[in-house]
Amino acid sequence: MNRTMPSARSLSIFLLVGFLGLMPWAPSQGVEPELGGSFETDTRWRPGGMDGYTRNETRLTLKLDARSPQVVFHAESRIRYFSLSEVQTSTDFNDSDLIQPWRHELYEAYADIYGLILENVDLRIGKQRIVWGTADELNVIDNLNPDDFGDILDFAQKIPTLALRLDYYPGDFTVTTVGIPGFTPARSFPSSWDVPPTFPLPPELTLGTLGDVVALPDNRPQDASTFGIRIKKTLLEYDWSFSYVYGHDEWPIPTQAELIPVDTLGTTDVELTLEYPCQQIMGVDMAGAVGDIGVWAEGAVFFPEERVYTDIISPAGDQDELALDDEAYVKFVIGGDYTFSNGLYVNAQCMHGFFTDRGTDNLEDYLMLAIEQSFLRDELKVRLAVAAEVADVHDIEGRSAYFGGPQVTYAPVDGLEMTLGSMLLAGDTSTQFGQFNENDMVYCQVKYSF
Amino acid sequence: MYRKSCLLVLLLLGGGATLASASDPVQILQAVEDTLNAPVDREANLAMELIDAKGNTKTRELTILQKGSDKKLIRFLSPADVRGVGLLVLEDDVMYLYMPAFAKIRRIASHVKNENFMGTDFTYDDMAQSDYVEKYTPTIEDETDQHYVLKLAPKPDSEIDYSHLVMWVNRKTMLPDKVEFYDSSANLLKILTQTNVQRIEGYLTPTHLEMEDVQENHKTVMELDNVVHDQELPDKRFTQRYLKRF
Repeated sequence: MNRTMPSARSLSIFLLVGFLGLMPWAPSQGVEPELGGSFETDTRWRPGGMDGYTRNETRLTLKLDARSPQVVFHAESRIRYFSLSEVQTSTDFNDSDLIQPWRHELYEAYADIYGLILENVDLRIGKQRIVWGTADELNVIDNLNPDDFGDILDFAQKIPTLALRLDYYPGDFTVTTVGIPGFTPARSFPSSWDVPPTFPLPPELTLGTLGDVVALPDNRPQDASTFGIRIKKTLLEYDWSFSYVYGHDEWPIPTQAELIPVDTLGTTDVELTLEYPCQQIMGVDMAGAVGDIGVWAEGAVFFPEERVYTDIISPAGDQDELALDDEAYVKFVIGGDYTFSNGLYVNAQCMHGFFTDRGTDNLEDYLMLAIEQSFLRDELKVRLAVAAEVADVHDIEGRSAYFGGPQVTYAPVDGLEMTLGSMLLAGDTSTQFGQFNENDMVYCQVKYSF
Repeated sequence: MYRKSCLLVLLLLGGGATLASASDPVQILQAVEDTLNAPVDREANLAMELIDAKGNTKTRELTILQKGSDKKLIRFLSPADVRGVGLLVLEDDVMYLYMPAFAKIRRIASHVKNENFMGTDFTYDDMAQSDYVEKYTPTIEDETDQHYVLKLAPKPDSEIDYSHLVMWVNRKTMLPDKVEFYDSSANLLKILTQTNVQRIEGYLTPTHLEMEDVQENHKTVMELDNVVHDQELPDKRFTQRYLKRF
């Protein structure tokens, strides 16, 4: 869990005061500020043998919108308190950030400028989430904001980044261009999930400690920026878009591995150097209907800019191993949804190539199915979501994983939502989700929006 | 446009009854539709009250923009958890839903059209409905001094779950005072009543609507306010660009 610097508390208070302070003076500036947000609690624990709390969070989200006819400012700030103490020694007793860890996140802060440059051009500048694609959260063409795996219940989240987005509307087309100045790496699954890091070694060697050094792209515009363009149009009753992205891969690849013998028994420490290679991505997506059934599809061709080798340095001699070929590879998602006459909603998606998969030979397949039934005018919703991960279609029994679970949401009054659910994980530990097979969870969440 | 203008003149002159005196059900239904869609465009605020069997209430506030019979943009203002949610309805039953929490516009296929719209007693199709003649075949059930009573049977190619509707058309206003909706088993499902008809900028506008689900004993009461007609809303207001602009 990230600890915050002492100045973060000051920043949060400053922002909070700023939010509230904007209220009285803003009308005189010709804008209409609106303050909203939510209060949430999120408690999770592992049932069974590995029992214990895994999350105990209280979250306050504040949203500020200030509108004038041509400019809209939006900010979303989150203050998160975690009630799982990180105290380890008695000297930590006077550190309130360890006794009760907390952090502040400025999730988004941007300004929309409508029709200022040209009547049919909108501009958005600031820290923002840029959503591309038509699939239901599993968007393979969405490669502008980095992945955020901080919450496995919502693993398709992305991290909003500072960007300049320009939407141009010539006729029936929508042309979106995006420039992201600077590089932000993706966020991996929580370290509290107790999955030891690994590196493949010859069978006669045993991994000791695994360390790494991350080499971020040079902080120069030509090295660290990402650029994207997307053109949308409705054609033959379907919505189509074509996109192109150039930038660094958000997940690193080992370019060097130094093997350091520790003892004569074969124990070896490994020191990795991780880098983010460049790539180009061509994407296409569509959405529409076949009869009453909603359908969507996305495909993305990834063009690694160059072959990437891992330079393995060991006392026995150096050697190179191919880490990423420069051969293009394709990821895709197809899906559909339908609501039966009794109100039962079904959503199914098939994904080839997970967010972290790289290279033609390493693309896994996922099948995801969600079934939802609402009762009492949406006051009560029962949802079952299940997914199967197939790492190797030739060895489904040995290299696959399954995860998902039921969820019940009750919203008795406006703004209040209470959720109880569970996530069960099973499968081979060499797979993306199977590695977490000791991390089944039950969760209870309460949210009040205001 | 010419037809609507003529109809408006007829209505203003009390010509609605004259128009329908031929007792042609299609003509009557066309007159209803034309009256409903008479304004070139309309903007209004809606206050909804959702009342369950125990008398518990929930409220919804939204704005609605309509142009002609095939363009609508609906935006939720409250409560907080649905604030900013928008629905864009275009011709040929094309619908888009904007969910601010996901910052995403999603195309909605026709399977949701018969689902309740955001917990109300109106379905997505009820909210979008303004082309009765295209979707229903009317027959006259009864005629009273005040009403034409029409039975509307869905046309074979219209994707409507109701087995039929019964509509009480007010002879003076040519607006439906009451509509009964029957489920696929021909049992009474919902009753829509429209009252407090006001002439706003020359157009007859019901400002109090109640939709009651008699099977679930649930009701949605809707009040129209700040109704503005004929602002010459441009077509671009009914695009995805404006759907996400809130």
